[in-house]
Amino acid sequence: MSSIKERVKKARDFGTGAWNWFMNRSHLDRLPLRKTPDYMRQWGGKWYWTGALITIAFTYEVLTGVILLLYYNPASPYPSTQYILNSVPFGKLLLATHLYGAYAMIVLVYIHMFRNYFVGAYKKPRELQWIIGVLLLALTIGAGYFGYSLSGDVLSYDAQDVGRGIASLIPVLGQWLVSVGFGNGTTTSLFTKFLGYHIIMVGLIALLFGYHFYLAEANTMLPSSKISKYRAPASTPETENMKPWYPSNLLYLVELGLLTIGFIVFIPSFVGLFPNTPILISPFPGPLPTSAAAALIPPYPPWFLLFVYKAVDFGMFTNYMGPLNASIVFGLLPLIYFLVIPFLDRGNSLHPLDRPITTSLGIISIVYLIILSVWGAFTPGLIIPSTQVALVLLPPAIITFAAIFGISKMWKKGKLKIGNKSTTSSFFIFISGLVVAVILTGYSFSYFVGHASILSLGKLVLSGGAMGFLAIGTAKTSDQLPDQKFKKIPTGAYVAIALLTFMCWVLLGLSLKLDPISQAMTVGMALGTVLIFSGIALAIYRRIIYGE
Amino acid sequence: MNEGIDETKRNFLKLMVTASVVAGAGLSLGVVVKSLSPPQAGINSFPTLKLVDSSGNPVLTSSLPTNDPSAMQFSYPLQSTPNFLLSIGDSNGTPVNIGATQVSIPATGATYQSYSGVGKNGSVVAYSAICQHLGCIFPELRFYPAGVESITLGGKTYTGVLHCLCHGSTYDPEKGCSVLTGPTTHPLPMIKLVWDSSTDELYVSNMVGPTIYGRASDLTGETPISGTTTEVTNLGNPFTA
Repeated sequence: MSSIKERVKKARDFGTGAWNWFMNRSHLDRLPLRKTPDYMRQWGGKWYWTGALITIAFTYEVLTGVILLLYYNPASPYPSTQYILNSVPFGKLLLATHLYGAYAMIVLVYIHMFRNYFVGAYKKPRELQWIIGVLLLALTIGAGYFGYSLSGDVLSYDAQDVGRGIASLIPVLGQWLVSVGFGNGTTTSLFTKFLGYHIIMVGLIALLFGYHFYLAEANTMLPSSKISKYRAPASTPETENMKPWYPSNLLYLVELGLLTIGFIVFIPSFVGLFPNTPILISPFPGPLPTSAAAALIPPYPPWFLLFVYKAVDFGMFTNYMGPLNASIVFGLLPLIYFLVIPFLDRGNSLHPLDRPITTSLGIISIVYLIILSVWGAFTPGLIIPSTQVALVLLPPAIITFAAIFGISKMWKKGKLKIGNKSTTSSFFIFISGLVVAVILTGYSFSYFVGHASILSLGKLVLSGGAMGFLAIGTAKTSDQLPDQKFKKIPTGAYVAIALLTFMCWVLLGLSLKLDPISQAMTVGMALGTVLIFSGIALAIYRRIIYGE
Repeated sequence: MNEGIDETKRNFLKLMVTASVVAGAGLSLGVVVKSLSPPQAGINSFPTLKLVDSSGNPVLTSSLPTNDPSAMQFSYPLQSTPNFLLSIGDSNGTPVNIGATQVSIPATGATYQSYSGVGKNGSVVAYSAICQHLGCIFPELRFYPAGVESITLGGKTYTGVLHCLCHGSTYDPEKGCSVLTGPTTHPLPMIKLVWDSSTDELYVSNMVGPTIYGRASDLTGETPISGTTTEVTNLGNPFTA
């Protein structure tokens, strides 16, 4: 007996020794990762982790993209895409989730940006961090454009033709840019370049993200308004009583990763079950441009470029240089505005109502992004007269400015007390209400546009989504659950965690029997569910053990 | 950290959560591993293909020169799987009637029956043109017609053989390409020729012997041949090049 005990002790000592050696030589225990205060990891603290969510989606994109790269052939883009869909084991799942992962990343980048815009995170000392972030937005949309165009379906050719057309209008450099960007006119040259640019942009995203993240760690997180008192510069210095990065933050990041990837995998798998989903949200590529089915597809760009696409249809942009001008006014100018905002809004106040111009422009940006995208989705290729453009776009801007300035004035005079807990959250709720109001304003103009029923439905869906998101998200920012201490593990937690784990393994077992080619999307739903369930199990565990 | 919680109960929860994360990670890993290995291209059975020249005309056995060191090659059963088409003669250039014979595979000790030669003289045969040792092809693997070309190995001179210059493997085409000298431990696979005596045309319809070098099976790992013909190409005489 004693010899067995000795052996176990010896093995244990060896294991500890090997682990200590590894940690010492790899320096993994000395990574410059910041500790964070508990309130950032608690329920409602997800607003502090929007960057982490993007990083998770980006990592997912790189992993699936690398596998797709092993099968994609730019010399025959459409057939090799079809090969991935129909012949590669789980190829359908990889391609569909790669697409939806990109969608998730783009949406999250917007959320991350606007959140930090409204809370004034671009102010001292985070100006450079913000500028790099805006460049990352441009690169993300660029990588999305090139990646989306790789499938060789009708939308990809439309997107390329329009991109080429806009590029060719650029004075002096136009033709040169066309040959740099789109090659010599052959399919192979075009798709080889697009594949290259797609990967180059992802590489640039990785590099810039590395620096962005370094700056985020060096500048520390922007603390809650209770701590900053709405005054820049504000930081979150590490203190002794903060929980160590490992395991607190690591477990939290694993939870976020499981949930994010779970949804990225689950949603397209679920959408893919339905036949004939509209092309803008279909997880699969469309038909070949030369096929008969292509004639039924509206000449759409990917949905994240719909806002520029609609602007090209505006009456004032229908002349020869119009498409370029539309891209400059609705694409380049907003980008430049966001790049230089740290130097335009230089006061030290972080309160949205203390910065009425900035806040108004931010709201108008969101409103225009949504209106133009929805408009583009429901009236593809329809020319809109300039007067009607003004009727749709000017009222929201005027309403927003008037409302924000009025509220700001009242607030400064002390006449307005918004909420008891946190002005920021009430303010966000106010924004969401305004967004809905503005969208409904647009909706009242919709009968000028035609397709009134579909348009109104789409607008209601989108405004409802925006309202729900803003309202729920912001409400939870303030209403943090109390730091509840458990002396005993509640029975419910046992049952919930055991049940979730059991279902995870049942789903794993069922998935093993499915065919990797014909039932790839079913496996995707199972995988997404398992990831989400394990994320929830981890969340419950963290709540019980760490009280977060 | 909540301090009051019993360590054992806590470990139980820890185990459960870890198990659910492991299930997710395992399933993800399974998807990735499977997706990395695409199903092999291929066909289900040996096709029957007519041998034709570059203009699509049938190859006639009467037009095949006997004891020609020039490599006449065609693909079978899949694309770019080369095979020799040979007309074997003796040292005087007279066609040899090749009969079916027992061929053994030195590596395993297994044996199989080779096909007999076809054509008016029974001298036309076809073999895989990928060396069974390490996969060398023409011009390293070449035909040394009897009395025309010869190779001396270890003091012994061989003629009327297939020999690979990469590492020195030698095969006897009169005896089903059985192994004459190593380092190979497998004979060359033989292709079944079907001769239409009324038209003098040639068809290929099957294979016998070891699996084609480097393949999991003769019928997978390559793009199938489309149509009902396979083209015979003259790659030239390696001894005069």
